[in-house]
Amino acid sequence: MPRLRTLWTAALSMAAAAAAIYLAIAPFHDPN
Amino acid sequence: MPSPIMLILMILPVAVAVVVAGLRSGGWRALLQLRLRHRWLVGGAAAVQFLRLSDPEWASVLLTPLRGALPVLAIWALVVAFVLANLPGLHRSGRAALSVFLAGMTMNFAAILANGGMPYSVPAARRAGLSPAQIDVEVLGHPHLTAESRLAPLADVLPVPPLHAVASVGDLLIFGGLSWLLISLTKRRTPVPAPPEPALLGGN
Repeated sequence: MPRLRTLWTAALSMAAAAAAIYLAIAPFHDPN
Repeated sequence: MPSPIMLILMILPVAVAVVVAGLRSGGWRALLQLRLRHRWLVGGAAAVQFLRLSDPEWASVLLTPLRGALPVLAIWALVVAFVLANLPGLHRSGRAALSVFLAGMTMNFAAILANGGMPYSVPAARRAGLSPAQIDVEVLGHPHLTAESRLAPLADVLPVPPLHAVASVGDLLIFGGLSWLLISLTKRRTPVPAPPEPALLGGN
């Protein structure tokens, strides 16, 4: 299922991009 | 669990990219070509952040050095490594977008290293709609911006009233850089033509 694999990889990449935003902002602004 | 503000910041670039992709011919197909490699680096950074937030006793050896800056440094290094690992595989505008992201993250990190926390402007916090009670409580890692603060332009000085938050220039670059990356990926690109087949040697 190459199409499903493409979709899965793109979804994981977008999730990684969204997580990168969180990891780039949150640790520098929280009270820890 | 990220705060509601953080969730909005995380989801918005992806949502905007999906909408833009829908408006562009072949946009979704182009967006589905997104291949960010070495995603385990982001997973590693997320694991460090999870440790910081849960703060288990056994991890204090890792979490306390440099007044708590060591795990923040580790997160910064892992995300920077993730960005650098993905730069070569992107087209020119994608590389520029990730460079903007990297610059923003480094600016935030510099402000924190210089001040032992991210200073924020009290007038900006008032304009953003934070209550006097919220502002009066001095939060560890979030000192007020004063005349003694270093790298003041890189601190949280920009009010964002809809989010009741104060942001830094670095935050804008982080958010803008990744939004730019995702939107640029919705553009259908002409594939680079394959080089011509080498001429056969030793022909007649």
